[in-house]
Amino acid sequence: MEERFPTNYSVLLSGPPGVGKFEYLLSRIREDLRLGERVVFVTLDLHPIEIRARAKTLRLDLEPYEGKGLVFVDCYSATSSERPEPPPGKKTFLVSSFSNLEGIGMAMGKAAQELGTPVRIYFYTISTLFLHNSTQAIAKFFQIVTSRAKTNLGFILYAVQEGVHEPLTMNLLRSLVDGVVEMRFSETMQSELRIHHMRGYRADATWHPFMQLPEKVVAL
Amino acid sequence: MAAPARPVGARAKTGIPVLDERLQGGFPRPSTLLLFSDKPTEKRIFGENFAVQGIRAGERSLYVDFFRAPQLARGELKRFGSGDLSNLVLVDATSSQLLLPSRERYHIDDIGSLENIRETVIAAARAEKPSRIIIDSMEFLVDRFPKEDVLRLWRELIEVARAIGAVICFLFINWTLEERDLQEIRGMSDFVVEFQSSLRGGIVRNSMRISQMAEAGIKTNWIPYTFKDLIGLTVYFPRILVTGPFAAGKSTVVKSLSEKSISIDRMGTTVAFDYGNVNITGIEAEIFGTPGQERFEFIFKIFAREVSGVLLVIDATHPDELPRARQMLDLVGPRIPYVVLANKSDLPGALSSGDISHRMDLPPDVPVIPTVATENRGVREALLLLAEMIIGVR
Amino acid sequence: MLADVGARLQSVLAELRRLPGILGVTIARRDGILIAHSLPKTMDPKKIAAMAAAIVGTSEMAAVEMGLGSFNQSIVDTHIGMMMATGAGEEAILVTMLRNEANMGLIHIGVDRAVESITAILRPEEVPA
Repeated sequence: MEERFPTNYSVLLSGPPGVGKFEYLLSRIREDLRLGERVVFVTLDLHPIEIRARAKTLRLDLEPYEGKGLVFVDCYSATSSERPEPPPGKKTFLVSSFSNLEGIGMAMGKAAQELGTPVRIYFYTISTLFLHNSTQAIAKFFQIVTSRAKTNLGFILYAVQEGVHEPLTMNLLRSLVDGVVEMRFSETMQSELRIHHMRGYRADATWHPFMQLPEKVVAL
Repeated sequence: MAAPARPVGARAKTGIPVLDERLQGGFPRPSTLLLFSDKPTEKRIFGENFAVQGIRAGERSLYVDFFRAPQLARGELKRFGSGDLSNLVLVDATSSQLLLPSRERYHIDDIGSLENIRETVIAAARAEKPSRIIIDSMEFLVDRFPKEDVLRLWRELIEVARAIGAVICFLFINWTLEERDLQEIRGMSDFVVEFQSSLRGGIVRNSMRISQMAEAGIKTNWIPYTFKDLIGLTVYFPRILVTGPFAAGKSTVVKSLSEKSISIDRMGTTVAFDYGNVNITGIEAEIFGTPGQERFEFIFKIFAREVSGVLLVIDATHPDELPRARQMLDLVGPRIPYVVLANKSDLPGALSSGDISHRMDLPPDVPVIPTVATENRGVREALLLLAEMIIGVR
Repeated sequence: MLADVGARLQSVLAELRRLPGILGVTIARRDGILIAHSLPKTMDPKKIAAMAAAIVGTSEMAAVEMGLGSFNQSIVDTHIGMMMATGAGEEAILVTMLRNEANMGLIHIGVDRAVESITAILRPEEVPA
C-alpha cells in the first residue's frame, strides 16, 4: 500500500484531529528522503523543533537531511510569543503571519529553489489558515499555489482537519486537487485510511487499518 | 514631536537609477502608488526599499505592517544596510493579535475594528508627517472587512497623504476582488507598479513594470530585478550577450565592463566564451562574450538562451564583416533588443555610425555607438543604452 | 618538413586507431582548428576539433577556478563510451573517442604514447647553428 504519489500532482489528506495525519505525513517523508527526494515541510500547526522531536520518536532523524534534502517553511514560530533560535546551519524559511498568504506562497517557492526542483511539499495543515483568512481568499490562494506547485515545483500534499470546516469548503478544496486520501476512526477507535480517488489512476477505495508503530507506519 | 526637515528635491527617489531617471527624479509629491500582483510575488521588497530610500534621504517613513511584529520588521529592514532607522515609524498591528503589549508609539489595539485601524493610521500620519507612507498590505483589510468600507478608508488615506504632501504606497495582492473593483482602485492611484515572480528551470525570476503613470502615460516593459544584501533593489539582467565577428573586440568589451572577468581564449581567439559580472549605476548584469569564428557557432546553442539584450560589436575599420555581424545577430534570435558598437573607432578608416547603420540596413531605432574598447570609451554608455531599451524607457 | 609533419601525425593516429574499442581520433589546435584526424565518415572533423578546443579550454580554466591543480584531461562520459581530450604539447589537443568495452589500460598506454609522439612532431624545429 505504500505506493508513491506521482510528481506534478496534488493531494488532499483529510481526517479528524488525532487520527494520525501527521504520522502519515512522516511516513511519506521518510520514504521520500530514503529515495533521495527533496522535501519541503510547510508547518502552520507545529514548531519545527516539535516536528523533529516527534519524528525522532518514530525513529526518523530529520536533522541530517535539513538543508540538503529537507527544509521547513515555518509559519508557526513567528506567531508563538517565544522565539527560539533555529539551529545553526539549517535553512528555515520564516513566514511572519498566518494572514500573509502571499508570504507563504513565496516562501514555498524559495524553499523549492533552495533545494532544487522537483520537490515534494507537505502542508500541515491548511485548516489553520481558515482561522485567519476568509474562505474566498484561501480558495484563491489554494488554487494558485496548487497550480504553481504542480507545474513548477513537483508534488504537493495538504493535510486538512475533518469536522471543522463547512461541507462547501471541503468540497471546494477536494475539487481543486488531483487526489484525495481520507483517514477516520473505526468503531473500535482504530485509525483507518483509504484513497478516495486519484485523478488519472485507478484507486482501491476500501478502508484499511492504519497502525502507527514506532519504527514505521504501516497499513495492515 | 518635531517633524523632520522637508525633503530636498521635489521627487521621492526609488533608489533604482534607471527607474528614477524615467520618473524624472522619482515619484512626485504628493502621489499615490499601487504595488500590485494577482499571484504571490516579492513586491514587499519594493515597499521596504521605498521606505528605506526615504530614510536614507533624511526623510521620515511611516510603515503600516499587518503581518510582521515590529521587531521582526526592523530586523528584516537591516538587510538594506546598517543605517540609522530612527526615522522609520512603524504602526504595530500584530502585538495585540499575539496578546502582547506594544512597544511602539502607534499600535492597533483591536485588529477586528476597521475604525480602530483607521484612527491609528491617520493619527500616526498626521502627527509624524512622514514624506512616505507604506501600507503593507491592503488585502489584509479587503479580506476581513466589507469591500465598500475598505475602499472608503483607502480613499481617505489617499486624502490624508495628499494633505501632508506625502507619497503613499499601497501594497495589494488581489485574492477576492472583481475586475471592476480593481479598475476603481487603479483609478484612485497615480502610479501602478505590477509585479511578477516566475520559477523557470529551478530559478526564481522577479520582475516589475510601471503599467500606469500619471504623467505622459508612458509605461515600462517588465524590469527584472534582484535584491542585493546591504544594497537594496537592483535591476538585474541574467544574460547580456556580446557577439560579433572575429577580432571585433568582444572579449575586450567584456573585460572593460566587468570588475573581474574570465576569458577562455587560445592563440589570440576566444574558443569558448568570455564571462563577466557588471555592476554600474544600480544595474547588475551577467555578460557573456561569444567567439567570433564560425567553427564555434555551437556555443550559441548553449548561451543564446534567456538573453535580455545583445551588444553587437563590429570592427569599424572592417566593413566587409558587416554581413557576418548581421548573421550572428540571427543566431541569437529575433526581437531581442540590441545596440551596435562600432569599435576601434579611433583607428584611421573607421566608418561613421551613420555609414554603418546604412550599410547594415538597420532599423532607425537601433543605436550605433562608436567605441574604443581598449580604452573603455563608449562601452558603458552602450550598455546603459541597452538597459534602457530592454526596460522600455527609450 | 611540413608535408612530412602531416604524414607523421597520420601514422600516429593510425596506430592509436588500431587499438580495440577506439571509435575515432582527432588532433586539434587549441584554438579549435583541425590539424589531423582519423574519424568515421559520419563525424564532422572540423566540428569535433572546435568542440574539443572549447571543452578543453573551459575545463582547464574550471580546474584552476576550482583550485584542483593542474589539468590532466577532459572526459565526456556517455551511454556508449567516452571522449578523452588531453593536451599534446603547447598548441595541440589529442581527442580520443572510445567504447565502454575498450580496455582502459591499453588505451591509456596508447594515448600517452601518442601524446608524446605528437608533442615531439609538433615541436618547433631547432635550427642548427
